[in-house]
Amino acid sequence: MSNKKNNQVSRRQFLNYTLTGVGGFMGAALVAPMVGFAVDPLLKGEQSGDFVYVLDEDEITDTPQRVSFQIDQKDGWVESQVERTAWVYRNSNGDILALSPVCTHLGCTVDWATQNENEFFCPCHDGRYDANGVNIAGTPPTEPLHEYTFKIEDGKLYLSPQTHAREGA
Amino acid sequence: MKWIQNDIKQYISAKEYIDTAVIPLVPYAVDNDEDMLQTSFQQELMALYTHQLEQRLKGRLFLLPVYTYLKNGTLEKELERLNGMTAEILKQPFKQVFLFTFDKQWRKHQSTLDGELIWLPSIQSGDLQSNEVREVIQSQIIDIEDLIKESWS
Repeated sequence: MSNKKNNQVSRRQFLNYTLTGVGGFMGAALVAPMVGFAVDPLLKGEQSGDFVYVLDEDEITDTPQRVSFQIDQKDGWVESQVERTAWVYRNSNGDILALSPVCTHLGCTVDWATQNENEFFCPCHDGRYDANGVNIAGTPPTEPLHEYTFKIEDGKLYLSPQTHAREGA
Repeated sequence: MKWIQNDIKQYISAKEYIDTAVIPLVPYAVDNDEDMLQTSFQQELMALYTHQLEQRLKGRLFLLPVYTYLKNGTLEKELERLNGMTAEILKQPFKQVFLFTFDKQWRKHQSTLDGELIWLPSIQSGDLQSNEVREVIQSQIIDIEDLIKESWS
């Protein structure tokens, strides 16, 4: 027994180890949630930014076509599947546009070329938008139709569930 | 516009543009199983129709809460209450009030109603997810939408 004394931990050392250990755990318990909160948006970002496949790139026409797609929407307590629609086309410059059909005036759904050729038209208050989705002065809408963020991968068009206002239009 | 606070806020700031009110009229019955099935399905269908219409015409159409009444009650009793409600709604700058229903009993009272009755032929029952049913519903919704738009021009 006595020659095992070298391996024995002194009271001081034992206390040091245990205190460091316990202190470390307590520190981690304090810091972990903070780190969690800090990076939380990053962890979430990937989910809400999910792009949805809508159609192939070579299916995109010069005149706007209506495409619809399903997304999972979390609205407060309620989680549901909702349908979104977009007007997808190439404008005269050859740029791809994926516009939201929601009128920027009061939120009705706009149609393509129902009233005038090459214009979006809102049936509620005769709002008009030109072929690029820009509101025509003198009609109720105050800004261009919003657009979906999109990406093209391997010749397929994907839309993000989020829409945003357009700059410089 | 729906009967939710966010939409009401928008309504209050843009009243002059929203001139059409819609009240869905939906009967319910709890005294026998068959009627329970039928009326609950009617409610489901009505929610679907009005939701879609509201989405299409949000900026001009104001969707009020559903007006419910007992299926086996007498409609005469409802007339007064419903007309009172219509009068109340017209205190806001609405130009017209549409009453949507699948219940054909209301047709007899069409002339007594202050709102404009839109009777829709109901689907007896069915799977709302199936493609055929969806197509029927979609085409009916387009019809109703046209009807409302016509009233605007």
